[in-house]
Amino acid sequence: MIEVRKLRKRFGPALALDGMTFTALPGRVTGFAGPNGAGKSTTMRVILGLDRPDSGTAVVEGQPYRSLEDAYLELTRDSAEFQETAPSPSG
Amino acid sequence: MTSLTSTVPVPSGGAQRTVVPWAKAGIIFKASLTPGSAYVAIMVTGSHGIRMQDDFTGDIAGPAMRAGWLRLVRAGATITGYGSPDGVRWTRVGTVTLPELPPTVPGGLFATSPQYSQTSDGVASISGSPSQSTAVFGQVTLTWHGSTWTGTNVGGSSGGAAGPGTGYSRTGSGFAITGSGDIAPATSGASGIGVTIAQTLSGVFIALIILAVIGAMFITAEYRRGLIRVTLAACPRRGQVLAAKAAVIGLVAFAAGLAGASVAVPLGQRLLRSHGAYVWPVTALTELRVIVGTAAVIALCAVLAVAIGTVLRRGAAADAAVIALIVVPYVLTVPIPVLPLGVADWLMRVTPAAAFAVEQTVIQYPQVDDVYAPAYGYYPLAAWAGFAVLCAWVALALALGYVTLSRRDA
Repeated sequence: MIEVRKLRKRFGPALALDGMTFTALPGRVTGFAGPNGAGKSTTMRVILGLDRPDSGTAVVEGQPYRSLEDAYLELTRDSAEFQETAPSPSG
Repeated sequence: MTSLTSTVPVPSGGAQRTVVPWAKAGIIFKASLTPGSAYVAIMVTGSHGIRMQDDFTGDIAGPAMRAGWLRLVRAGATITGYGSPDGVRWTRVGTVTLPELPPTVPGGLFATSPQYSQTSDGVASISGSPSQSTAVFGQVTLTWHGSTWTGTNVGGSSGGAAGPGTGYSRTGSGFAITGSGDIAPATSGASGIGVTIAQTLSGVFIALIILAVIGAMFITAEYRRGLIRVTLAACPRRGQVLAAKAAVIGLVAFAAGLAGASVAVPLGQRLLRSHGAYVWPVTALTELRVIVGTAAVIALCAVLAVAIGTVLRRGAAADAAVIALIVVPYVLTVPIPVLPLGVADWLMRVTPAAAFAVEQTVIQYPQVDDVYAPAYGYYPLAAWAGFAVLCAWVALALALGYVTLSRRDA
């Protein structure tokens, strides 16, 4: 399960995320759509611990991604989200 | 001892009177006249007062006098030296035990004058020449029955100018003795002889440049291609990423350095000796320390490059930083010694290049005048202390790398 709560992230003058909140439940296909610059990539990067949000939290299986012992094993064991959230090399 | 005066040759010809700090004259007991045999002596020096010295490395400071009375008393293997300004009030300078001294020894008066060298800038601009000192012994009486005074130039005249002018002459009730050369431990360096085994490793800086580039690229290449995001997604604990990279490059660089140094040190010594160079001998343990120490310096330099690369994120900038911190100070101090000695000394204390002290194999003697420069194998810090300086730099860089890697968005 992925839980995103009140994420806020600013890149210089651009406010990328402002109160982003959602829950993606396990065993379901969850779509994540939006226009250019809506903050999709930023949200993914925050979930994956690549970017640090200005405020708010994002947890995977109840834990921040960066504190997972072995991210790959834990995520592929019982959920399908990893494929959806795997980052592309270009971010 | 009435007086001790010294001269050095001047380029225009002739000689100039000067103070040679470690010119010595006094009374000596020596096992034999063969250079290298055991001895004990009490002496007046050019500017280091009365000293009592024995067996080359022993040196005891006495009263600060430039002339005066000297006394050397032997009781079996125990010899005590005294100094006095007037022949009435005596000060004990020191007592040494010298079992190597045979029951009957030649005793007498001597004068020595070491090689004189000076430098205005780096080691490259050192100039030097043999000096010559004349000691006047005002009142000399011989009460040993059946003995007479003889005079000998001990040692070769390999110093060039040592030959002419040296010797002794009677002056009324005493002697004037003129000497050149020294009775002291040999040293490497401008006034000394030979090279140290560190000479065989002067090409290590090339390895450092290569490893600085590879080490920095270990992390900067990931930033350049955006691969760092995949790495950090797969391994979200960033400290682990940095630690793993540092461990891998460190171990690989250590193995490469060990292989290179293990070949370079023995082979380099053979080459130097086969071309007639005098290479200071070292024990197997010291040679091992130099080889392993150099490999460790190479390894830590690579780790430093990873850490700095993590902070700066750009390969060229990280390479420049590592080369400026360690390669440049080393090259301008040891292989191409152009920096003024004070600057070189300072750099070899504070920069990561201080770690090259692991290649130190010669001893610096305060009682021997020489230009003790890193280029001759004399590093300002002890081997472990110099290595600790590099360790501190690496620890600091890794800490900075960890903090920046953890805090920054990938």
